Amino acid sequence: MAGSSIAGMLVGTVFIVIFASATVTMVDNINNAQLASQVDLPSPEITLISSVWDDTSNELTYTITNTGSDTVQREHIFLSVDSAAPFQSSSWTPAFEYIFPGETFVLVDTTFVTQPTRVFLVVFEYSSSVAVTT
Amino acid sequence: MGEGPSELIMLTTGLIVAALVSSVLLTTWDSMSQGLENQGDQAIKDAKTRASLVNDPSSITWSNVDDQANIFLQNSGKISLNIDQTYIVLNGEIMTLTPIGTEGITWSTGVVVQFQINAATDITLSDDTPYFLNIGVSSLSVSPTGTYSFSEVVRLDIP
Repeated sequence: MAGSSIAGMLVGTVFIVIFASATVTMVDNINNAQLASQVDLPSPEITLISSVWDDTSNELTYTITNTGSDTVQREHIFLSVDSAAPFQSSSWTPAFEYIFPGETFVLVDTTFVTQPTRVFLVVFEYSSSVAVTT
Repeated sequence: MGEGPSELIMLTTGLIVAALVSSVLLTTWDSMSQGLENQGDQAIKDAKTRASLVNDPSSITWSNVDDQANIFLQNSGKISLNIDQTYIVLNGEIMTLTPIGTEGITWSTGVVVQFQINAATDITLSDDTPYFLNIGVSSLSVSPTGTYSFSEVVRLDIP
């Protein structure tokens, strides 16, 4: 009688331990599944403020500002003029590797001989565009 | 004294039933747990897999002569993509893709890849008309493979 009660208790305890362990594993997996919604993707925001054409020197100047909260690597910023192929913003002066939040740069492009009409900037999933003014 | 054997039988029966039920419950529990784990891994991988269009969507040059355009895509996610697993559909037509200036299949975060797209059949698209451009990318790492697709309305510039 006493022996069977002890045996019953032992078996019951083993079952409880097994179920507790399975529950802990499942809770861990549920927590991992929730991490998907917390993936922190890059969200840079570089805004093209203006694009000005100088007829005298045939220079196109782009004014860009980091309006976001992420520091952005310059090589990740691409510009596209009219329907031409996009190019890296690192092609023009001044030289800088990163653009920090709040910073503004004026880039000078001397590759055009006639006035373009529109400039489009892309950095990751953020884009900005302006009409070229004189 | 005479109750000993019947108690033993009851205990044994109880243990067998408990073991059977526990076995079924644990199998179900394990399947649910495994399913949640796989779903979580897949969701995390998908969330890290992203790409974005670099071309100005208001003016993408398309040649009706060569049935060809150049699409520039940036890896805007957090993990490397597989260049060979990219697909582009323009106006419902699946395009043949040729990556330009790339080596291998690895496409790192932040990097822009130029794809020359060609229609498999002769199609004629119109200037200044909006078309749907559908793009899909996949992660370089597998088990699980992260996927991401997006759609943009683009206007074509036809010389």
